[in-house]
Amino acid sequence: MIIELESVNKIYNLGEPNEVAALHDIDLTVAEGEMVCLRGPSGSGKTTLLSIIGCIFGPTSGRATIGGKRISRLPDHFLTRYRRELIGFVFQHFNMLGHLTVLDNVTLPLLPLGVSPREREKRADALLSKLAIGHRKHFPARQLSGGELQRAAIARALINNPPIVVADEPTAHLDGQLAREIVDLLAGLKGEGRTLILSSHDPLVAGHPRVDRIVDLRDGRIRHADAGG
Amino acid sequence: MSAFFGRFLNILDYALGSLMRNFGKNCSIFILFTLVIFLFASFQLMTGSLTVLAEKILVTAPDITVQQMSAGRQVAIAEGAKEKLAGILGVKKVTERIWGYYFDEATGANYTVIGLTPPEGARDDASWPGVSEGRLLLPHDRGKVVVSRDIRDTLGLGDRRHFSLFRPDLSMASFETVGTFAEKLDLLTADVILMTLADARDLFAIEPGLVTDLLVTVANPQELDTIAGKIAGILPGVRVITRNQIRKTYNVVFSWRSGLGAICFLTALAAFAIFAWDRASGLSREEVREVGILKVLGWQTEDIILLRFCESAVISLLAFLTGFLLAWIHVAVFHGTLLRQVLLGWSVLRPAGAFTPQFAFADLLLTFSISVLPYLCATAVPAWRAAVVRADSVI
Amino acid sequence: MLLNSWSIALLVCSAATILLGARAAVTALRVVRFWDAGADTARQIRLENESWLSAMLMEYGLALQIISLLLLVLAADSFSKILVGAMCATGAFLANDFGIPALAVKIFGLFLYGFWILMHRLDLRSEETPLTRMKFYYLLLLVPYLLADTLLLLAYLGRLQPDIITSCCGVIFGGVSGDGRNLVGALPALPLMALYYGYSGLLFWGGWGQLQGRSRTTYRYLSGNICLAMGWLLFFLFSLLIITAVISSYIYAMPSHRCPFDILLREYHGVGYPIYFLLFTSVFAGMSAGAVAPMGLLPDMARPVEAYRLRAIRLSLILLVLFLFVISWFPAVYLASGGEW
Repeated sequence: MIIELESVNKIYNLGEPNEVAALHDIDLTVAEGEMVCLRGPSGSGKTTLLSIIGCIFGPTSGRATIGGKRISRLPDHFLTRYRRELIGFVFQHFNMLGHLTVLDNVTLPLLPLGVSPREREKRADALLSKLAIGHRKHFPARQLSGGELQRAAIARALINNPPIVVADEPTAHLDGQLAREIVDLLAGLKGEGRTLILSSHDPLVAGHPRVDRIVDLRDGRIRHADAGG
Repeated sequence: MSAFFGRFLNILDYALGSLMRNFGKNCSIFILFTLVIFLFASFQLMTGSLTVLAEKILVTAPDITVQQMSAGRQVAIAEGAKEKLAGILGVKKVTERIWGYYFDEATGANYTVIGLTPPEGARDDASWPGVSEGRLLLPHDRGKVVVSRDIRDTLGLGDRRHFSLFRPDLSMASFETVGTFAEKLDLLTADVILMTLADARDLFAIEPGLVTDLLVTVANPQELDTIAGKIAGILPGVRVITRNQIRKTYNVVFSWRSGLGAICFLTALAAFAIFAWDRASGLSREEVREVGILKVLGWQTEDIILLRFCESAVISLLAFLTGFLLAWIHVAVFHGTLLRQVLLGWSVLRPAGAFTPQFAFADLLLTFSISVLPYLCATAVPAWRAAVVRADSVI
Repeated sequence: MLLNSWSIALLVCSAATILLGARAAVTALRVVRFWDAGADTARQIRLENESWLSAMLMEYGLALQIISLLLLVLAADSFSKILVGAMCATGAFLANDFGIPALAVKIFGLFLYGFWILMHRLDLRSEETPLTRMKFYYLLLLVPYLLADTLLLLAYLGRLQPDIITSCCGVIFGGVSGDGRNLVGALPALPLMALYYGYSGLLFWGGWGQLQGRSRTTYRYLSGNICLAMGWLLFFLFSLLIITAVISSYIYAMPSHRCPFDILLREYHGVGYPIYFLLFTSVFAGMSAGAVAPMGLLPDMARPVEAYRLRAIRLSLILLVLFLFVISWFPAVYLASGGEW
């Protein structure tokens, strides 16, 4: 699943007085199984670039493909379908629904696919135990610690077995040891053949030995891309 | 196919969870909605039940009633017209009747006085409804009446059988009750004093040879309208009313009253719909966040629309079923206590009859259409507003 | 006769439909003017969102039409009890000039709404969404249809004169054209049924042929499908005639009662529901299969259209057979127990 971006631009609120150009002429290719870290200050366009790769929205102009499938200039329902099939998303704020249990949170992506409750639990159990939080599956998410939440979020991101995992500042709200554990977990996904794209200004992430490439973003442009590790 | 149902069941399950999480807000909508449906359904069930009861009772009404009109008002008809009517082919029997109203100043009640000559040799004329106590009138009875329990109570008779009424010249006419109408006939007989033709003529001081109506029985019911037409042709200036027309008039009155009730409840429903729309409209930050997360996780816009629809449908269907059930109990067990005044009776005497609500798919559909459908429509746009929250709102 | 629960319910449904339709029409106007598929402008994003709203409102509209059609028929049955000369719903519809037109508009409205929803769903199957502008033009055309529906209903209900005793007279003649219980006169049953079965067979053969064969030219493909669609429309009208003129009498066990509505009543075990359900669904499946064919010529629509066509034709044939079986049951039972045509 090669990710290819060619001359990608993104302008928010195009056609309105409050237009904002977030990305300018982005050219980026991510090979299958590669682990890429996007680095840059706030407002550099990391989240926007991640959102385009993660099929949250399309670019204003330019061409974006995943595995040869066009993801630019697509209607929203197609983007959503590709997002469901291809992408697992991990967020800096975890984005778990506090009133639901860990199990319910993790299996949310499976509900609109018509997967039965038994099958859902089976898939979730496999992931949760792999991520060492199986014992918390019936707890409401609001009772979990930061590290547990991020593990649950990773389980949720993997529930559909996506080939690509996108993580936006995955260690932003975690400290020291926990952050290290999460980065190791994410890096471990590379070993499963998945492609990883992370955004972070945490040196722990960018400096991880399994990172293949660091892409520096400034003012919506790629400054340079270094080999990682 | 199984994925289709699986999706629906999963989203329905999520919707139920969501409803429980906002229990207070949803409860208030549920209670108000149930109340609106309860009121409308009660009205419908009572009207339906009255219509059926009226149909049953009106089977006993005369086939054709003939009344004399003058200057647009009813006047007495000469008994001699009876021969002319009896001569029409297809007419089986013609009976004279005096029908009048007696206003009892002491009680403020209006009694309907019906004067009929019981047929010779009949001890209990099968064409008349039964009595619960005593007997019907006999051909040679004088000063004997059959009344309802309501009238007995209004006159304060207790165990006594005798009472008096005023003639127009203020002299007193004495009567003795020989029978009491059965309670199930209250709808027709609650205010009726049945006496012989001669007694009625005496009470109202009507001249000999005149009556208020001639009642015609026909041999073949299919010929009713034809014979009615002939009567109108033979007797100038008469009003000819068939039983069908009485039945339809009752139906119209009941349906008119229920329509009036529907208008009133429509106002309540409109107010409720606005309330529901208002409650559904506001998207809290939590709700926006929740939808954003679902979208990011791969839920499509139509999944969220379905989710919101399920929430609305569950509340409205539950309210519908509860409201209808409560209405049923209200009408069948409590005799429609809350709404009797609107639908039944006039003046002081109001019949106490029990309602037997009819279960008809048509009534269910009608109540459903006037309640659940507008509610679902009112919550359509708010549901869509929630569904178009963008996935990037949580990034 | 507007002050009546049935009338009020019908008008509430109509009002809801009009409101939904008006809101959808507002979107439709914007879409036909500004739609630019794939553009990333804020306006396009808003339009995409709104097109979801229109779809939802049209689906609600279809549900409302189905329910209000049922309501109208049940209402007519209720009105018949208070109208001069009306013995059943037929008489109620014939009570003034607007009854049958109001009913016809509602019936055809089902197909029109259903077709819009079908277009919408096919449009969603393509990344290019080539049907978007077309479907919203179509939506705009439906608005006057909606208005006509409501106006006819208002005219019908408003002009119904209940039979009540007036101060001057009780006997009223006429009131309802015809004999108040028959929608059509007596027709020769045997030749009619023979023609009907023959036509159904032809329709089945046409549909089967579409499933098997692949047309060689675009012209043959299109003409074949349009003929199929028209064929199903004719079948629909023919079926209504057959149900009214022949089948209903066997259901009522009364040769003089030819009414297509009473078969929905409880007295007749509501056999009308499965009959009409099978009829409407088979006709919709068959007609729409033919009608969507031209859309298959648009970019990226060939596969979704073809997939739908094949499924719909298959479904229409199955439902056709079931429908013929159900309606044939009644005269068959009658004939088997020694009756005559």
